Amino acid sequence: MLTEILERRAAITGVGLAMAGRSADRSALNLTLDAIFEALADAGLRDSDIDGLSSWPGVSATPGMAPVTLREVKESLALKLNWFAASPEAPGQLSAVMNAAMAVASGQARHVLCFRTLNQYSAQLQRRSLSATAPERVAGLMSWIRPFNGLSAAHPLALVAKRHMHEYGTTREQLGALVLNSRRNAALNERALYRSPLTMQEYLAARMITEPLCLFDCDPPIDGATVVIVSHIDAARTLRKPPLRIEAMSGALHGRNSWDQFEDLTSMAATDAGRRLWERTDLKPGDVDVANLYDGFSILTLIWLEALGFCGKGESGAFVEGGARIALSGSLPLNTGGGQLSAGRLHGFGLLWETCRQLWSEAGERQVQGAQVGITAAGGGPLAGCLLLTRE
Amino acid sequence: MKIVADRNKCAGHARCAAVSELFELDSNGYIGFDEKIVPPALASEAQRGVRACPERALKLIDDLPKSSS
Repeated sequence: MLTEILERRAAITGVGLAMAGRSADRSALNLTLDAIFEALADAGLRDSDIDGLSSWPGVSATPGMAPVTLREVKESLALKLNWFAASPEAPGQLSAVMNAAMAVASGQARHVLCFRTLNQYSAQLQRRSLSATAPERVAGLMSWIRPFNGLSAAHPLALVAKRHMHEYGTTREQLGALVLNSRRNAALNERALYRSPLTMQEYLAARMITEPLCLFDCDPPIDGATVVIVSHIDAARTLRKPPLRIEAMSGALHGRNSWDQFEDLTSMAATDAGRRLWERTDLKPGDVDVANLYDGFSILTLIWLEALGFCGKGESGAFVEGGARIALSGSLPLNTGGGQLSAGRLHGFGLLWETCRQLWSEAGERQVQGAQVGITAAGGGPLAGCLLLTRE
Repeated sequence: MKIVADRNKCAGHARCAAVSELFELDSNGYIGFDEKIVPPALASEAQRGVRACPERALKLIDDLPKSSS
């Protein structure tokens, strides 16, 4: 290796989650603070120990996407910050954690609160139509999609799913196996949104959103907040729980900044980030005990399985088929807390929360026995970030 | 220990209420009391709420009689 892997100086020391779900009863700031207080107690830290703050995207014009800013959290807790940052110009949701890891590794901060809050359920209640809140001119990535009636990420990703089926013979039943696995795991997670059993028949009969993605292939928008505390490893070892060291992380983007102009339609930024991740560690995909991979849409988890080398290109459909391999008792327990599809759209942070709970052996009935190495990946299209965690 | 609120200064940011349920608001979203006794167990929560006020409308007063030990 050419360089020292500095992210190994960073560790996750506490997590918190406040899930309002499909309810608008609690404000986004309240939810954020609820999750922060839970994470502080989890780590055994006080407000005054926190000297760094991080989030993604920080601010957003999209209703419900970033309802709480860093500065609001700073003011609410009167934090004395030595370092803080949040930017939408970053490799997706987990950039908040990756930036924090770099901040503690370089000595800018010792304990960084990383939060991700969404209140997209509340925002949906408030907005009457897309056009009522959309900017006058479509800008950014959406300007390439909107003219062709692509109203949300579901449309380009339906094309990806369709292409995956065309090229590699992937089936709806295989996507369904992934969805059902998540729902089974959610039944064992008291914090998950949807916990009632789901059958393959119900999955196949569900309302189509955009072919071939049906209702259950799309994660439900919710109100909720997740917090992860990233600490310098030297400050982490004296806290309440064993530190979860960041073994490697990557947010590489080599291909085009686009939802549909990578080398082929079933590759994404995930492909670059996944390849780069394994260049930064001696661990191999076979060493991973638990994987929580992004499932804003079911097809994204298949893409991540391939991108991270858990199977070959095009083989992810067969990999999840039947669900045995990805079950809690399988060789790669996947989306063990129910993923976003069943637990709600916490935008990658819920997946990271679950990986941490597993590595701390706090996952109760859904615990993967002896989990020591966990992986979390988040993002789709041009957004991709992944973290490999090990329990010390 | 008690919280003392200056209702003339309160501008309804509700940051105190966001950090602790001790800080009940009135139906318009302003601080809902002039004074409130704080149970000892919630002292640090009360401090959090007082610190959060951007208008400095809240104070925490230790009104316990000094012990004569």
